[in-house]
Amino acid sequence: MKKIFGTVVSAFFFLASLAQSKYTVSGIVKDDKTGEELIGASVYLKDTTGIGTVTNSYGFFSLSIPAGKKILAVRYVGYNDYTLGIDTLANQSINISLTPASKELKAIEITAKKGDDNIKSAEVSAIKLDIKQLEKIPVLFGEKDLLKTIQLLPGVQPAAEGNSGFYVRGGSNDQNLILLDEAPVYNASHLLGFFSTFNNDAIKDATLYKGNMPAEFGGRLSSVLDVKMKEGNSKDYVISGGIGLIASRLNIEGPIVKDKGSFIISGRRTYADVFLKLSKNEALRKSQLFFYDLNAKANYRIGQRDRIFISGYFGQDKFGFRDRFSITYGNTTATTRWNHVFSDKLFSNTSFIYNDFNYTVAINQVSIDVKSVVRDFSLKEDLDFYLNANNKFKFGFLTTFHTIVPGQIVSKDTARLNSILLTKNYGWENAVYAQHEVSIKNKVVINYGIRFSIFSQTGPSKYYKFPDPEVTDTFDLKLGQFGKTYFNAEPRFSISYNFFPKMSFKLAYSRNAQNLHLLSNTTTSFPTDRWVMTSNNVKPEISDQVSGGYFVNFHKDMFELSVEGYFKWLQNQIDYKNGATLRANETVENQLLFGIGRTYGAEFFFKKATGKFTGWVSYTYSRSERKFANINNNTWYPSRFDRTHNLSVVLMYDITPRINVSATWVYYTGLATTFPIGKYFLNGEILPYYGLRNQDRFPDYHRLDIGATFVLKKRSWWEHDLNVSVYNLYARKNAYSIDFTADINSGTAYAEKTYLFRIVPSITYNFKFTVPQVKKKVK
Amino acid sequence: MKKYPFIRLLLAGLTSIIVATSCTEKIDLKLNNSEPQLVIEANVSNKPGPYTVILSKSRLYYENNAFAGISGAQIILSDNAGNIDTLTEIAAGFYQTNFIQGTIGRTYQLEVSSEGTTYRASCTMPAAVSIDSVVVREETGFNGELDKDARVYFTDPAGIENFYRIIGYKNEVPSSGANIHRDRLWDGKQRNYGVPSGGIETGDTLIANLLSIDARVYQFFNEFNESSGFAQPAAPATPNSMYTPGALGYFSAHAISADTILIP
Repeated sequence: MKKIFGTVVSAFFFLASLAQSKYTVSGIVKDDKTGEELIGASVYLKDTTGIGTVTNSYGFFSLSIPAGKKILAVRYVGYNDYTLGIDTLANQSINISLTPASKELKAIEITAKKGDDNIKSAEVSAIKLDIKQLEKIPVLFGEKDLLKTIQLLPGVQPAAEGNSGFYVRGGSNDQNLILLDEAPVYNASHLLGFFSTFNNDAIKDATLYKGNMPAEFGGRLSSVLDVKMKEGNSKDYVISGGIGLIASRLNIEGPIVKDKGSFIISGRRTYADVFLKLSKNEALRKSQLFFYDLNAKANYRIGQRDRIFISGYFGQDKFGFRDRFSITYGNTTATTRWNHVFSDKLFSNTSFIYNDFNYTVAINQVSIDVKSVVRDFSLKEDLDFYLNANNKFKFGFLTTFHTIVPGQIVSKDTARLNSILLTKNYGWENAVYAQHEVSIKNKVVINYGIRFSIFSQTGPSKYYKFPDPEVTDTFDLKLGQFGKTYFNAEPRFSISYNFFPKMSFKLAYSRNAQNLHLLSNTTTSFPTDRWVMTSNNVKPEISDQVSGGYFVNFHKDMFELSVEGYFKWLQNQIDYKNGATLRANETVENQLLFGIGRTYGAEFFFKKATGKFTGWVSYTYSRSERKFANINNNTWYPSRFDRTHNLSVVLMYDITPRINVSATWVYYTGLATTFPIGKYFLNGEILPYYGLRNQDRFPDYHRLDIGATFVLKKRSWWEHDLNVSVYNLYARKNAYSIDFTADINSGTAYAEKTYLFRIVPSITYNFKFTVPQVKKKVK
Repeated sequence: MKKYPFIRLLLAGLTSIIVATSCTEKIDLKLNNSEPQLVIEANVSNKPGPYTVILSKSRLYYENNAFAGISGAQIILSDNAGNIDTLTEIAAGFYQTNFIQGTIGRTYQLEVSSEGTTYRASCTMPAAVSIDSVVVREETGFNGELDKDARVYFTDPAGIENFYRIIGYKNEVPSSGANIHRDRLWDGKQRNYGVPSGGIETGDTLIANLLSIDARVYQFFNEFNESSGFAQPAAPATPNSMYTPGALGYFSAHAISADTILIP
């Protein structure tokens, strides 16, 4: 291992030695109107090719330029270009404010990146989501949803109908790391997955890495979805919100001290339970069903070099069936961050992160509560070092203390029922990483790095050993004692070769390790699914992915076309023994089977990015297979995440600047599943006889949704619009589940599908009010 | 009910409310074919014999339910006290013991030779747990209707793992399904469960049978429940066979406590 590290360090120094001494211009790029920092804005010298950079997650940039008079340009699509004449005689710091593009241009699609970033960056298999565009895409119940929109992109597939769960490149749902302001969200769904935990009003930026993530991210095999909350308007107080069929939203933001600090608070609550109260059915009337969530964030700038951010999320779901039972579950995250500019070349961010996912199931009939908690405390440090215009380094560490309290059964009437208190588990996870991005003659961009991850099971806890199927052994760890420790070196590499200005080839390799695993033996994910940590029995899951792609833009970046292929090898994948008991089971690790996997596929993406008419077509061909010693006689079989064909068409058209219409059509192969291959009579019943696993498929799925947005009024201080959408326009009865019935009396046997939705129309009213400033004199 | 009735109830409740708008529809779905598989259903109890072993074969899913009995097999039931009984075929696929008497604590060995293959399984008969009482009560269903419900009360022996199966005989017709329970949550306590009957009315005669079953038999029924119930199991599978080599079905040696009541 020392060898690898040595090689990396010497490579850094070799590349660093290529640099010449120049002056450094650094600063922050912001939106002039709201004061929000712009992530990924291009900052470059207009008259010298090959000198440029992009702003980081905090809008910060640093650029080394030769001495003398130069023109500095800043570009960010959707904003007017900005140029500044500078005469560099010393290092300097400048803050740049971009003005949003004029009204005529605004009707044009606003993309959150420079027109040809997709070509030039070394990132492969990464998608930067356009939060503003998301508002135009029709969705179920009209609730704009980040997690559902990413399912329309190549390589990403929905877990189930109307579900915010997703599979990336043939990996399971728990192999996606979902970060909200750096805090992992363990269960990113409300109402059994029909809504995501992300309130679109509070979101500024989201990027999805499909396996080839840079070294700064790690911990999951399939993807990282990096979601960043808005900072809040630092110039004006703005109140915005919406009223929809299912939920209403309210968002308040404004300056704490103008241009120095700002805050944002976004809340959302559903009111399905209000409709339940109107029901004639007593059972429904006495039931509860709602969720709410709250995002809050504040930041304050202390001098030129320091900035503090505090952000948090709190969400909860409550479902109660009469007074018989209820389930309450939700996530809490809190992130405290400190940005510090050490020098014009070195940017630092230190974060302290807390996240918690818990549920309580109360069964009042038998006076039992089932309680579970997954909780992390983390400390994270990231450093950006801008050596010169062509060399950028990033390094840091992450240390996390994990606690898992598996579903404890707490009896309140111990005369009748005993409690089952499962052992709590603790784990300590550490990672250090370093990466270097080098651009060679503006033609080749190489990003390479390495992440070392170390995971240890710790006490105070009891752990189990299963020397053979009949024997169960235990060992205890005290507080501060370590059990099994796993060490993984995860190299990451990507290269982009721009052989023509608007055309590039990219190639990438990544290894990822995962130490938290979700056990779920149902097709739909429930909040009560169980998380387990890597232990003496469960090894870290490991993936190796190779991706390659061809990217081209034409007609002045109006059209984008990309073709990507990937192959991924998986180790230590988890499946379950037949009839496995996952809940309330102390020795759950004994119920698991371990095997390997392979997934591969090709992804095609064609997008029209600008003009009145925009949209994309995304097609993915993919296979996802697993091999387990005790399943299907140790042969390869399709995994539960295997969809062969996946097609999405998204169209948006601005009829006038005030009226916009959109449509999406999706088609995908049904997931692999197991249907009976026979039946038999036993014990007075007819039972299904199953053969090999996952040899059958659900019927193909397709659906058309349409939507329209009407801007009712748009002034600088007041705007409101109406959004209408129809989900599943041609009312296709897509199978959600398939049940088999063999009737013992009539002798008939048939298959029956359950479908969730036919046509679902919805309407949402949105408004935005900016509190007029006294000096502005609004008439 | 299944192993964690409350969690399953909850999941079912959640799902049903969420998908209140959902509907079902019969569909044409092609299924793969399978070779007919041998099914062996064998029971021994502490009650006087004869005991029955039923042999049949599986059919294709969409075929009719003419599960023909398999004739001509040689079946031997023996115990660890040296009794060996060769069963007599009394009807196609129905085989009966001649003299062997089920006894608590003995281990039974079953040997079925059919069509050139010999299948073996063994099972130990646990101690009986007596029924405290069977009580009929009226219960309000989820939708407010009044139902008669017979419940069997029994006291679980403390300090040992117990596995139960409950069978109801309404007017001599046995209930179907597994109806298994284990004492993990209520070791040593009095417990009551509904007697499966398919609905009872005044005048019915109901016999409640409380079976003490072997852990392996419990596991068999549990695998069946886990892989066939609602909440959409991700990988439905046929339970692991109790026979070597594999055959469908089970072999249970169990102790029965019974109580008969007339529904008031």
